[in-house]
Amino acid sequence: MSWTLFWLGWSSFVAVGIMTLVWRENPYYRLIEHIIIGAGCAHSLMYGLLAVKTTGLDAIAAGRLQLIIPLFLAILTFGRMTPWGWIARYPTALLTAIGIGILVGGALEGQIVGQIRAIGVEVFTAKDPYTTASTVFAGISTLCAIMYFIYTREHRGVYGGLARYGRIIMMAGLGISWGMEFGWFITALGTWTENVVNFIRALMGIPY
Amino acid sequence: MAGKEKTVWDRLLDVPQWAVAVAVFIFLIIPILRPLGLPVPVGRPAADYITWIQKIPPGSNVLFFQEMSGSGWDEIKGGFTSTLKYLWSKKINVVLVAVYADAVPTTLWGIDYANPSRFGVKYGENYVFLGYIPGEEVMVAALRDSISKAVSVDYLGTPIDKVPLLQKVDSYKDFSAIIVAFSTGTSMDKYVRQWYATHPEIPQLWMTASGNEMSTVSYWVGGMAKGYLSGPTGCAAMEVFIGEPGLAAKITDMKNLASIPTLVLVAIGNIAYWGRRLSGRR
Repeated sequence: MSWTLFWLGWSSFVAVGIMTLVWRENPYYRLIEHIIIGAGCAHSLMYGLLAVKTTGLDAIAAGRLQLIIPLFLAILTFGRMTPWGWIARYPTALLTAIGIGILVGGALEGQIVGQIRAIGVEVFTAKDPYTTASTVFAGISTLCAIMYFIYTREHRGVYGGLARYGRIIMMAGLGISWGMEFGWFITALGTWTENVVNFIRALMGIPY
Repeated sequence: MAGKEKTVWDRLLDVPQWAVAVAVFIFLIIPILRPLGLPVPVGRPAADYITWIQKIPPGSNVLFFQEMSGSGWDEIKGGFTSTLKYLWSKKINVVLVAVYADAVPTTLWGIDYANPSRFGVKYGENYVFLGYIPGEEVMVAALRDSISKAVSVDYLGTPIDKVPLLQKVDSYKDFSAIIVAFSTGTSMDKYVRQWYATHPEIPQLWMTASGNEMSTVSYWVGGMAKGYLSGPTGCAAMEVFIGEPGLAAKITDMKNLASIPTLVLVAIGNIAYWGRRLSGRR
């Protein structure tokens, strides 16, 4: 038996196990579920440790001694597992601060100002009325969706109507997202099915 | 329902889950056994992706962030491999990075499938894989400023000062474009924050699973991404562009056919729900 056939058989075994869930929860499904979770954790742990070596230990050995500081802070995060759990707060606080600091600067231009500017530019430079109307619709809908999340004012009257419209727009968006998400599941299901079909073909000696 | 006779609406709503799955499976298997080769629609985002990738000058460098793990890989593998094939055919140098640990095997599979030797490109000279670099957004920002300060070795363990390509490229100044294969609906935000916000002149080309389309489209309209490939349909457009319909085109066939029973069942389910509700039985 060739290794290709073995791995095709193994992937089919896993694929069928996952797909048995549409019948009902069963030991075969649970076995595959545990194998996938276990293998995934082991894989992530292995690559995590490898990354500590390649981006940390190797660089320190090469003379970049300043990297000892983040490595020391990383070790402190394990303090949570000791009686001195408070020492984990320092690296956590530092990570949070750095994360927010890195995020906020770019978010303002990339995600807020840039998006608003794009709507403005599109309204005034659109080549056809459809694009102008579409952009105005998107702008108004966004404002109404934001209104829905303002809870300091009661949603009544005209304001309430706009907030309700914002909610409907969000639900429409979520509906489309779910439709697209379903497409993702079909892709996975299709590829698993293809694996099984190819395994059967390989067993029968039919080229696939 | 105990003690009451089942109406036609009740029977329609009680269709077992396995029966629905069997119906979908039948439609999925048809294109596997007999490829249909249905026409591939090219949407505007995919057309823009193709337009912009053609603007990357031959001999220049691109940085390719790969996030997709096994769970969503089937959605974009056609776009990933066809993009690599195109870049290599134009002798565009590619620096690949796995943003998550589980994106390493998919990246290796994609490189292998794209078959670099076919295009006469060499590892280390025309393309290099840096492997998994932790840090997510911090890493994305760090690579923008200096690869050599963020990474010491490539995936194979070779010190980066010994890799010919990495002696030529180090920061955003050296890249003509960045390509991102992202996994979740908010993963692309970090490239907007760290690359577009500081260097909007560097075009970003994206590919992602179809489920992320709703959150991606606003960035394309806003110009943060010049174009994107959404799921197998978008990726199939790229495959057709390079003249090699394959992985994504086949999946597009499957999705198109499997959508037929799904739409029929959704329609039946809704009709039965309203039928039961209007007939006074909840």
